Amino acid sequence: MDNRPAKKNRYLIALILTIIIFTLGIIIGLFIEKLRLEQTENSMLHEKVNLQSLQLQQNFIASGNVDCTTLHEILDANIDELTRKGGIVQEFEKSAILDKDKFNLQHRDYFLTEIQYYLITKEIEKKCPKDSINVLYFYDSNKYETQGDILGYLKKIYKERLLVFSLNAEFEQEPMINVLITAHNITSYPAIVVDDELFSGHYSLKEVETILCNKFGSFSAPSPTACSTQTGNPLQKNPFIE
Amino acid sequence: MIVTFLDVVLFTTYFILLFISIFWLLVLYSPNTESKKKKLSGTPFFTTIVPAYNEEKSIYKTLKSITNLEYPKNAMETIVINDGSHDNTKIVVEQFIKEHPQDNIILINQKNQGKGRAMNNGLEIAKGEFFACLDADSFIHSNALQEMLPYFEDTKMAAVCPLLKVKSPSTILQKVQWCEYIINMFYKYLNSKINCIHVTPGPFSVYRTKIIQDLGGYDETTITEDLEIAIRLQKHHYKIVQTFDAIVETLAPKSWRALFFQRVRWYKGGVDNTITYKKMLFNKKYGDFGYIRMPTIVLSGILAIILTGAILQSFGSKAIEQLFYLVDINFDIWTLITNYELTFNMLALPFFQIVITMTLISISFLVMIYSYKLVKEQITNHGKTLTSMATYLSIYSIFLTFVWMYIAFIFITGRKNKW
Repeated sequence: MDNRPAKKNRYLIALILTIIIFTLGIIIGLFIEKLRLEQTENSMLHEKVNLQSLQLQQNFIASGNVDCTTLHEILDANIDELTRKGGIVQEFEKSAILDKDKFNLQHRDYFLTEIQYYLITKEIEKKCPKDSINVLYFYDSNKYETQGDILGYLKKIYKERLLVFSLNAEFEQEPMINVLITAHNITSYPAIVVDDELFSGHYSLKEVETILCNKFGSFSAPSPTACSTQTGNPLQKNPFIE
Repeated sequence: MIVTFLDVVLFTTYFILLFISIFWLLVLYSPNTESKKKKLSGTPFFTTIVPAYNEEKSIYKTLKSITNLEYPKNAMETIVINDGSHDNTKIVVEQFIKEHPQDNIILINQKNQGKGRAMNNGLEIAKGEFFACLDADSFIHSNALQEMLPYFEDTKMAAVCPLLKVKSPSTILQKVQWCEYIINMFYKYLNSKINCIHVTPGPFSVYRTKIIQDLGGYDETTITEDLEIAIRLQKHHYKIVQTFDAIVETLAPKSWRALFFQRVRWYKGGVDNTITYKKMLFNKKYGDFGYIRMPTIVLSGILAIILTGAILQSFGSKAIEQLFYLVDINFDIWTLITNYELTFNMLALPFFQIVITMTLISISFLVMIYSYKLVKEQITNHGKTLTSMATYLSIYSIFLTFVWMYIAFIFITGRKNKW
């Protein structure tokens, strides 16, 4: 019997339509990438303006025109917002196609702003009674590491009394991160620096809670209610404490 | 953007899926060139072959549906091949023959040798110009022959497939299969439009006897003789058409296990026959059948494994991360709930995947609407089918992926086929 010719046009049209839909998807993706870049640039600008405002306000603490409690609240809210935006920048950078370098710059800008917030927090503490703990958290690319999650959870419990500054130890583009790593003698990750005291390696929830509650206990302000259940000092058993 | 191997595989999968979907859409909207049904001239003799293995529960009704066919009894014969049943199939058939002496029914008992051998034994003595195989768990509507035989006025027509439905679906699993059969019929309609039908199902596909005899009858080594014979007919450029006027109802498996092994047999048979007829793949001699139908028999399994694997990997990885997190915080979910902040960033959505997925979902909905319209069924015909539809759209595709994975396992370990 005869051969059966296939309608080649049908295959061609199907191929063209598939390419059109795919191209449409890619074009929308690139357009979205531009919008994402604009969004992160605006966000970071917003955070930097907030930082400048905070820097100026802390100059007026001594004059009594600025209240320490209000300043702490603003500081906490700004750091929270910055952390959230930092996560978005990181996600956008991962999926960027054309503007990867620009997103990387945004990422660097984010880390710098975070360090600036860390420094201004220390400045404010000199002028206001200290009632919150600053934690510098250095992480690497181990995606199964959950130290950051534990800190995030504790942040939900201690709220404005715990300020967490997360820094990617492997972000080589920003030398300032390395400066902090060297300054705190950090050699392994994850590492947390709680009010200038270094804890290397992974710490469980209970261990971190104990560290924090011991610190809160040394403040003149009362410890958070969550600390009332904490007893003992498991840190004495931990070989990673330096 | 770091492009991983998985990304490349997934994007290629999306591309192929989209291409195939658009191809079939073009077929749907193309002018109908399939054989027009003409008026049947004369009353050709017709043989129904019923291969039966342990079918004591359903064979009586099956035979009853044959004797109820609106066709002259003197132009019909029924050959029951009892394939070494261990139950009372033989007794039930003998009883039926006693009760229906006016119907020309022959019972042949053979040692258990499989369906292919049973069909060939039946073919050896069949007197019909046309014949059909009717599985002993299927039941034909009385007008079936009147609707199917006229297609054979086209001398190149080798086989006509009926509209296959699940009989009285009662459980969710059966309703799921009921949905599936309806959608499959739609694909059969599209395949029929470009003469690409690759399977003439056991439940009452009608054949021109001489063509099948000339081709050497049924392959007795395959586990899916209905698929093999259809591919062989296509290889010889015969026509196979799908009709929607002749209805055959079949019993669907009631348990997931039974369904699993039924599908393993079907799909494994598909893969085996693709390998047997590999020379037809992308062979221009066979037109659309070689370019699209043959490759998609196996490709559908590969795509199912890739897509479901990727989805499970993505969800599984997130689920494990969340589990680690919950373990770390001593499952203090209450704190997480009371401190939950809803953050939604429109720009964080994966737009490329959304465009492709939405296109595929739209096509799927179009297919469902057309399917129900084509077989003149309502989605509510068997009670509330929302659960079964949801099961069909979610769990069932994962289930079928496991079937394909099991087949891959069979191939890797070199296990033998079981009927």
